[in-house]
Amino acid sequence: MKKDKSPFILHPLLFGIYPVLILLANNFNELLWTNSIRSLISSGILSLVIYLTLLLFLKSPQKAALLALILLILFYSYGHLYYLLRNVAFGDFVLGHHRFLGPIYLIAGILAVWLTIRIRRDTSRLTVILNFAGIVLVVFPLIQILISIVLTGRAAASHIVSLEEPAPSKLPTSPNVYYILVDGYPRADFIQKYMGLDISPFINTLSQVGFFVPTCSQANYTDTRFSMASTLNMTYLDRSTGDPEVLYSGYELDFMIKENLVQEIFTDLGYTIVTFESGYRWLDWENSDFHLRPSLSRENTFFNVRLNEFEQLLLDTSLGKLILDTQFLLTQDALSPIRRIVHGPREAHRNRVLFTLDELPRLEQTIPSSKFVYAHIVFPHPPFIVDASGNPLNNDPPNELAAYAEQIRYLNSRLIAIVDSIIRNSVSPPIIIIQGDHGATIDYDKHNIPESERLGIFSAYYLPGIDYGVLQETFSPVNNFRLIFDTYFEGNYGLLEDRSIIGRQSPYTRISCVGK
Amino acid sequence: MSQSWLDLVKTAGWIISYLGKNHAYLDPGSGSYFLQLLIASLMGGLFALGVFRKKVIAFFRRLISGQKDEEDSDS
Repeated sequence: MKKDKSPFILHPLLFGIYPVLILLANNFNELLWTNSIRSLISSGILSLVIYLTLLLFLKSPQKAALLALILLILFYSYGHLYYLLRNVAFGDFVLGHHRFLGPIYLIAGILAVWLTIRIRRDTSRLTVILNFAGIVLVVFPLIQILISIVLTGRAAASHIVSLEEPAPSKLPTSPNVYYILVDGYPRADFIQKYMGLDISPFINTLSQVGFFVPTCSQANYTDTRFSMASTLNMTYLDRSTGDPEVLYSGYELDFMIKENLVQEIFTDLGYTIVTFESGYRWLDWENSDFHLRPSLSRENTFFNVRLNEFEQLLLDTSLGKLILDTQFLLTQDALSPIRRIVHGPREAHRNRVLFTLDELPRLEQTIPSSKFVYAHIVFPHPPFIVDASGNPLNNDPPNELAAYAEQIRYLNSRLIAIVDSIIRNSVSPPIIIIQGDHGATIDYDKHNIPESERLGIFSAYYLPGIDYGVLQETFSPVNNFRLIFDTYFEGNYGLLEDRSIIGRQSPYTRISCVGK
Repeated sequence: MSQSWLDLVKTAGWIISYLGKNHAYLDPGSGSYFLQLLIASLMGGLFALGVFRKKVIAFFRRLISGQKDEEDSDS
């Protein structure tokens, strides 16, 4: 009797958990790693269930494992391929479309089943090879995660930014300072030109209240990470070389946002620091006095039936994308529980945005002490969560420019009420900055819009006692707090030259400005 | 490395980083997903060369000498 020397079958499990690990590795600093636990367990169980089901029919462990592996690769690669091909077209025919990819994947699946059934040879050696490839595959994201942990720790261990100027003084009257960061809010001329929305009534209302709204406002950087690290530390990210590039690593930038100079100075001045939950680890400050979040924001627990953002991303990058995009299952009211499960992250995001907009005008009453309020609202940045009237959206509408304009219209109506309430309820005139960190987050290639347009941002400054005539139309975020500390707190930082770059490295760029 | 190669690497890096970004601040990492699959496949291929080395060597020997198929010692 021939001795059974069949190798241990591991590869379906390894190829099954790899998609979860790579998503975790790519977003390790964005989300809590615990968000991936359920996905990891589910993908392991899915691999096992597929393997055992196929084993029932094929009666051969090697062949069942081989077919399970192919089906798992097809399942988990669908959404990724869809994203990669979504802008690839031959003439009018877009490759990244369900009409094209769906049939191809179906044929590939059927072929895989047919070919596997027809295999007559012993595939033991193939199993050994696939086990080896699976181990190699899983090691990549694990190394990525390990590097993230080490580099984050290293960045945290070094005090990255410090300025040589003396600290500002504590004054008898300390105005409340509100920094309302509206993520991805583009400049008025961009909104008018590409989104067909005229926001001049909103700007006029702010001006009448006493705001200065520079027409040609430009971000210093086109990326949130760069912009916030620069603004909150009142410095360019060139390590004082004067070169037009970002010379800090992503880990250092995250740390510069979490533990920034502006917060440190306000804390030293005796201010109460108030922040809001943004939904992203790297954007949230860890040591503020009040970190406000909706009461139901702990949705990312293990036993919550709704999907968390990580799980939705996994679904979106797999064959689940086909289910998410073909809404016939999700739009029927009878199946609203499914819809609630699938759209959990969107709802959580909407709750966070609306909570911040609701709470901002109440802070004058709820926190009476001198305070620095930093509200980083990931809005009107996609995803699209409301229409212009504030009605909730369950999906991203097909026309992203129109949907963006709707979110801006809604935000504007809320901002007017917020600033009115803050100013009306303040004992002494407050300082308010409303500002985008970069321009619109849209598919610039698809709309044939130059990427440089992402530099144009909306800015509005409410600076009591300041002659706005001295401010340049190009006044940029890197100088926000230099101006505030110098003007209101006897600081001596001075203003930097307004400069902007695209991405991590580009020549200094100034985009044309309509209306000036 | 020449400038043109550097540019090529940078462009490839850019494509891998930016293609497929659809979530607010989450990165699907579709480029790295396929890149790592490809590398693992290549490593698997190299491993297979090791496993089937006798067959591979025998195949090339036959190819060079023009001999007819003979019984494979590795089977």
